Amino acid sequence: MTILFLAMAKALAPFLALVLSGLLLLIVTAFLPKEKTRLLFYPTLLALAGTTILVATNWVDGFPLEGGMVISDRIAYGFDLVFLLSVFLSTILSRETEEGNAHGGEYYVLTLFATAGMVLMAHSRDLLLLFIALEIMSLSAYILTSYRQSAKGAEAGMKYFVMGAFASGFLLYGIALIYGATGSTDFSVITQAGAGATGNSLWLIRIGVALLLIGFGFKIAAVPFHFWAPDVYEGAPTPVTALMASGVKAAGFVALVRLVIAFAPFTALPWVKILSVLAFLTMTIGNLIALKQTNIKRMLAYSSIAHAGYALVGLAASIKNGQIQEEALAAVLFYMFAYSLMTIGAFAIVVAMGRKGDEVDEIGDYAGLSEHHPALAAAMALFMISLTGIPPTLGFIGKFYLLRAAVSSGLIGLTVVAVLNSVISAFYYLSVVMVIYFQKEKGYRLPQLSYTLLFAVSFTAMAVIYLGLFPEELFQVAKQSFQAVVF
Amino acid sequence: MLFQFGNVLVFIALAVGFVFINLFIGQLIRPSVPSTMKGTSYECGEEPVGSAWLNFNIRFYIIALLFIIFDVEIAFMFPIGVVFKQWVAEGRGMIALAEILVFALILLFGLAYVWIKGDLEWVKKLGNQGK
Amino acid sequence: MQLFFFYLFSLITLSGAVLVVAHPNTLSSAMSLIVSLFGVACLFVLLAAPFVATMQLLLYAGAIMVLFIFVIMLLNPSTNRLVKRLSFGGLLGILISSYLAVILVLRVVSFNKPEEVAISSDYGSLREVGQLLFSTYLVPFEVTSLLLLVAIIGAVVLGRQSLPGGRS
Repeated sequence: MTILFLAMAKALAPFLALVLSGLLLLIVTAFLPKEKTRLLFYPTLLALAGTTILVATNWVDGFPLEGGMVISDRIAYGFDLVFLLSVFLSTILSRETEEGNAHGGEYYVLTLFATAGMVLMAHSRDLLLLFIALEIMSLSAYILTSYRQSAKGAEAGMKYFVMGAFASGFLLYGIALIYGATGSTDFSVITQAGAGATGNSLWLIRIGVALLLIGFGFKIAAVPFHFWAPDVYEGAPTPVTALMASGVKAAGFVALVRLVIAFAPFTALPWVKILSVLAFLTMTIGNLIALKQTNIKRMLAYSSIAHAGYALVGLAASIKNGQIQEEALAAVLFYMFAYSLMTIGAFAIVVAMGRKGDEVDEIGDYAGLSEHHPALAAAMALFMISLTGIPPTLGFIGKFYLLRAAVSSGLIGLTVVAVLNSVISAFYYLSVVMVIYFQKEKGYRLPQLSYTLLFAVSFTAMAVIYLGLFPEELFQVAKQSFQAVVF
Repeated sequence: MLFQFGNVLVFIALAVGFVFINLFIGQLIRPSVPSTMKGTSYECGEEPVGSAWLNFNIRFYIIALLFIIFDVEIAFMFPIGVVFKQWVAEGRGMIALAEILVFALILLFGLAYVWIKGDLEWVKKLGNQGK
Repeated sequence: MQLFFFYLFSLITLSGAVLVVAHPNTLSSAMSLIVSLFGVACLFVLLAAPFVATMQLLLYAGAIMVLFIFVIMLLNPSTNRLVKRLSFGGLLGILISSYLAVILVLRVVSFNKPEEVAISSDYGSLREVGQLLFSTYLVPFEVTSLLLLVAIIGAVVLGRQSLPGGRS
């Protein structure tokens, strides 16, 4: 029994580290006077960095740990790294905004708890635990969304909460049906029981899986479950928006990856068709509506929908004749990493453009940024180019791996659509670049940039270029995460 | 066991039935003389002033919310109390205690946080307040 | 006999739920929700889950409904009564949800009658639930307390915004 506990604790170590530091900061924040709570910025980063090191060493060990309902394999650790990176960077952004400064340390505590939820999602081997982890993440995200005391923030938080609760309903119903058919919520038991399932129970599992897909579809903002995203992204504080576009989305994808691995081999559903249609709709509609946006946060929201679509292409490619294609899943993981870096970079510049307590969201406001602050303008241009998917940036490499997987799984049509979508997306991404470089300045003065923000921008920019040129090692990491996937 | 719940159901049915049957009989035998005075809200004989709908203090809500969260905690602890003795008898008492303590400790942090912050006070000190 | 009660309680649940949506008065909607939740609790009893049924009554029909009514009083619905109009979106929603309902019902009706499963007399009892919470479901159980903690923080953080009109 004690051994079991130790195994469990070891498997859950990254989660426990985050929770413990969150609890510690919670008590500290209660004692600190309000002016001093900004100091919690440093311990938060320290906790995130420490957890990252822990996860990285565990990944290198590579020995899958199991205990209770927890599985700590390289898939989990690989996604953990994406979560931790995106939370780390978006926390750095929060330093420059109202949330990180004036409104108490709960912001940092909730960030840590949200991360803990994401990590636990990656580590769950059980639908019930997966659900609770998702709720921890989502609940923290709802609160962070309406952290700013404004009507817009409250509206965004409310919308996010109601849509999230709706999605949770789908998830629970799906879990209930699967439990009813197999008598368990554990993935490994489900796959065993499901392999022999026929008739009623197979149908129950299928309906359950469909409901789960809808539920997670909401979380990754896949079309047609995307309609909450633009309003929420716009209304939330920019660092939180960055977190939602990167970490929360990646958490949705880790759940989908687990779902595909567990259920695709035996349910005999038209997985490839379902995921392809989802990917097609998500890419196309996201990109088409993004064309019309004038608000940069809304534009990035639709862009994030479109990028979820590209990643779904990889997910669709991961099933070929009922067999899991590890390379395609690795491409999904790689793409989540790449997309998180690029989009947080772009959001960092959105933060940089705003003054404290005041956001500058209109694309027109970026006019003349190149004269004003050439380095920032160049970085923004780089992120836009990378989001479009033009070489030699990380965005191009990510898409390349995804589409290569799609071609090798025989999804030629979907590949063509994805390429066409990249062309469409060039219009709105590059129009931002045009505004920055070729439009006359409107007299907007850029505020003084802080070192933390400069660090975030330069780190993401360098990573986008460096990994764009030398992606091979990172892709190997992603690929090794998916070696011999089983439940 | 279902049978025992049958008793509960019978009681509920009787209770609900009692109300409606009485109302129905009253309806049959009472005289009906409506007037505006009878339609007003009952205020112990006083004339009611203003509307019965009024916005009340949001602190009621916050405290009720906190109460419910701890209520749920107790709901989770309850079934564990039932099996605790059995686990102690099986020599797994320390493990069971540790499991409960972890659960309660996490929430204890929440209680401490709320307490220190002053959110349990009816009139919260303005210095601590958000804005 | 059990089947009769199942349909009876389902009827109570569903009619309560329909009233929640259809009733023009918000407070009456909330009251109908209690009826619906009560029906669900009865269904839990039929499913040999008395603990869940009790919690359903105590927490949902009791405590959480009080919060609902708090909010309704707080928002003062006499001044902004809900206006019900059938919009295009509403129509689309009705169509899609009835389509899904028809699919589900057709699928379930086509199922063969499942064979009866014998369960132990202890099944679903408090003891059984406690045993499971301590062993199989230990991790979700412990993690639930974190979820509750996040909820506490949320209540405090979001509640510090005083609504206009509220005295504080």
